[in-house]
Amino acid sequence: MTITLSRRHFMGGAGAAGLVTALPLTALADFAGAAPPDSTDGLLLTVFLRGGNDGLNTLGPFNSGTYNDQRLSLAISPSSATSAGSGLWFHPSLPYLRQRYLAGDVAVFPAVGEPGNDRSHFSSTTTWMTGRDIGADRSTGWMGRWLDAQPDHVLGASVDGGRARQIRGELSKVVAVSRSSSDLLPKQSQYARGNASMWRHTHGGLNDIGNEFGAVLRNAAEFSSRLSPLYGDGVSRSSNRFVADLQRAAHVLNLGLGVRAVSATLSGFDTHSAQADRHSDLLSDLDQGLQGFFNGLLPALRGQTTVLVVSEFGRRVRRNSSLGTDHGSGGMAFVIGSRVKGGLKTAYPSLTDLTSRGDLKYQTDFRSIYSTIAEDWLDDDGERLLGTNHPSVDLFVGGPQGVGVAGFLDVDSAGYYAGALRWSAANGIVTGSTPTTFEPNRNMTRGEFATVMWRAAGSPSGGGHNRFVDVPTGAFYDQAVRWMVAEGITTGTAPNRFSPNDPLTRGQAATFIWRWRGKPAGSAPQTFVDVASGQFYTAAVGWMAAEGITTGTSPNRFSPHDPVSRAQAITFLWRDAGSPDA
Amino acid sequence: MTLTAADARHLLRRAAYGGLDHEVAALTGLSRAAAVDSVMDTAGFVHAELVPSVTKSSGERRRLAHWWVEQMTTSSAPITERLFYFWHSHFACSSDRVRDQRLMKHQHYAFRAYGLGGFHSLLREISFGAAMLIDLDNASNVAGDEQENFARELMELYTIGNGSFSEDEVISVARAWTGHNLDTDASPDEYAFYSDRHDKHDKTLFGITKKWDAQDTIDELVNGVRRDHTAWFLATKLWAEFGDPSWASGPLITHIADTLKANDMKALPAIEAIFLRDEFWAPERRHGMVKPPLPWVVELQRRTGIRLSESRLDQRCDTMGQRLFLPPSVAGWGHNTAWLSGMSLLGRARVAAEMSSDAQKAGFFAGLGDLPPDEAVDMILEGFGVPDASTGTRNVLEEWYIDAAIRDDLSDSWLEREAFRVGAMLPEVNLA
Repeated sequence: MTITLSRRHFMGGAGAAGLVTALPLTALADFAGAAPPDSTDGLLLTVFLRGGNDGLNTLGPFNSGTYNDQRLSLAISPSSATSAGSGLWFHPSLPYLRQRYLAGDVAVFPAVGEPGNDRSHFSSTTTWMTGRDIGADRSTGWMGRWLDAQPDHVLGASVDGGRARQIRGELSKVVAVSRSSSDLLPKQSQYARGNASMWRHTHGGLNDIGNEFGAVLRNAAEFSSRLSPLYGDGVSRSSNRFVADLQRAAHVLNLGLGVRAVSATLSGFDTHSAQADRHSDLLSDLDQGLQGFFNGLLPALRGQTTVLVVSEFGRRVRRNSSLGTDHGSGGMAFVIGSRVKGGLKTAYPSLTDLTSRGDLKYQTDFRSIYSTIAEDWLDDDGERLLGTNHPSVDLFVGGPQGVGVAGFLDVDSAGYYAGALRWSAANGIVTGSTPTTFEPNRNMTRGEFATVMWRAAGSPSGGGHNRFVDVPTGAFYDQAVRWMVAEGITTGTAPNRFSPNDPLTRGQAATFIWRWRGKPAGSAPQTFVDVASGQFYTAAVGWMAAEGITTGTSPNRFSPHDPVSRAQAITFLWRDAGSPDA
Repeated sequence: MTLTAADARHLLRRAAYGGLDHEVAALTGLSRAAAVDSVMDTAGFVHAELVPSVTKSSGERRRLAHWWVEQMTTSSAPITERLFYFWHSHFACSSDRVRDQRLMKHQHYAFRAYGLGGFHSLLREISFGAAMLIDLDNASNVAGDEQENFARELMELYTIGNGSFSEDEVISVARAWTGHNLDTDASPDEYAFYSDRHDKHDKTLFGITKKWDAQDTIDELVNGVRRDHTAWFLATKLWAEFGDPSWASGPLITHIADTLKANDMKALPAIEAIFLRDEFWAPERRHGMVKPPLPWVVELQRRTGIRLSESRLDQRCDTMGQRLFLPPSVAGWGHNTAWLSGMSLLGRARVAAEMSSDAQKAGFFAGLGDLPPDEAVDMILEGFGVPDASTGTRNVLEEWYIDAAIRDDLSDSWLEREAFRVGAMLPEVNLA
């Protein structure tokens, strides 16, 4: 390339556009692989209560002399308004959790723990986050290892700054969805924010590790820019930090970007002193956060979303001299969701039959919960994930059961196009009008069809000169149309027009596909009365009928001049590809 | 064989925090031996301390970290700061576990006071330091109720490496270290030996049965029966840090280990030996490893004269995954792919964006918009010290420039800032 003009020469100057379009376009990061989860894919939010939550004051016993004697001034004064039944009460700061519990949506494990009986925050947190004992490899978290084993397009997100080890894996599949009003993209750079192309040049060609560097950066930028709806106008978020975290957790799932696991943290539970008010405030944060999460979650996703709440340990039964409680065992875990089999999962722990240190005896190894979630909710093998075998617990009424197909919520999962939609979403051929809506019955435009067909062809680079005045450089269909011209698939609607925003007719769709496939001869008898001989689409429709790509709009009609719906269009392409499974 | 400018840049990326133009020029044309001699010169190192003394509170960790990064940025003997980081990652104590920042500071000063000398003294100072005693729980290691945490890591992480010891030896080392605890009445806590908590019986370790004490274990590991193992293990880690974390050969590590043994187990002569090896200069080593976030930040600070504030440095290092005094695990920080997470790289992009405005005001890339694309590319690459970037990088940077330059809604100063943001994230700038 020999360009000797300075910037001023080509700013707005004649010929500038031609000069630029003649450059080879560098492909953007192909984050098209970020397919939304299907309606039977389980989604999981894990909330870690850091510091050791006091289970005994979270869900406590009515009329227990021992409780009052041991807790003294820290004892909660329950009322019938906070009753959980079975002689237990919820802390008054937990009205939402109580309501969900009474509705049967909350499984409570009142005494969870681990055999190591470790009292160190660091070590115990690591044990809980990794699901592995001291001595084993504890560099990755249990959710992270699950993500590692999933296809590339299945991702994780953290709303707590990304530090929690539970979701850290060996692969870079976790995106931090930050607290700040913007994501991590440099906010000064609207250019970068708009198309994430700022780093497209990181392709490099320097060496393998340089290419990997570029790929990770581009993917992160691309994903991050797709999160922009999280921060747009009209997104109201609580001023409470943790509640805002969980609202964002719901939102990132709603966006349908392929995120299936989210990690959140609520810190401050290490209440060695002056526990009463602090603990009450923390539980209130938790309760409002959970409510914010479920209220913010799209209704269609509620049947496929589960929340796990854990903490690294519980606290000593007896109040200490600083009006707090010290590290203990027998913590409390909650699993929440509409597919959860709610209730108290083991007997409430005895307050008199304690360990030698005065702690509650645990009844459920927390890894049994992880293992069950892995197997019954996330379609994995618990032993593979944890490295050790743990008995299952009875946790779900059934598997994940969301609504929709491939994350699109406005489609009929039994519709004729469901298979086509799964396939085209999984292969990045369609991305939807929004991540959760596909609009199957809307007419497909010529520009849209060019794009999906180009993607179905593998998004080939290259392509010829753009001779259409109505195809602007940088339009989403620009590359696709130029490829079609180069391949002889389109001649436009006029010598210099492609009419990208016009509805595509069924006859045009047939013709495009037929030309793409090299104009194969069709041999089937022409049964469509509305497909006359000698039309531009006649041979194409004949070939499509012979190949089973179309069955017509009725047994003897193809309706070539009708607009093709988005559902019909992807169905043509899917059948053309051999009707593959997603 | 004399150094080209590209050779000089390679050496300065590993031995220092990137080469500024005059530093590259000073090495260019020198023999390899003379150039290595020059970067290994520690005469400019002064054992400075942060004053006034830090307090116990965790906020002081940020202050100490910020001070250290400033030392990295301004040191006239940067190889020393690179070595101190190596030791910090080697003896990876964490503020979170030690809690008292005064003790973290003491440990850091021990790296400065002993890190340039023999490994035996350094290991002794660190092992008997209060920070380590707390971090790996030897503070509670008493006869009859042994705590194995430190004993295991002393061998696995600090001296001979995994696979070179048995579980029985872990117990023996733990017993030898009983009673070497803390005086918690002192402020801050300090090391104290409690004879009544020490196991005075015979223990068998490394095939020797005697009344082992803590100091004996260090003596034998570094200078005695396990000296070869320790030398090999340290040689491997030094090569990973300064040479290549994903490739090594037997003869290479043997040579580095031999250098350690011939030099009182000092790290600097071993690093010098690394820089003198042909393997270090091989094409695969050039830009062959990911620059961790801190050297990347330090280099940008050096090139621009801009400084990140204490709080911003802490926040961004948190995002990028490299907060000093808070290593991710007792095994320290990783290499290469450990740094290639989306979160971490977006953190770098954020830093670049935040620095870009000040950089532009300081005249970075002034007049860029007046240049034809190929010269604009040269200006950006030279600004970041990578004029020898790959053709691929040059081509796409030129594309970026043309794309950006034709936009008439964007100002010249925007273009200059954007060039900084783009340039700081080039692969060449992020690989060492």
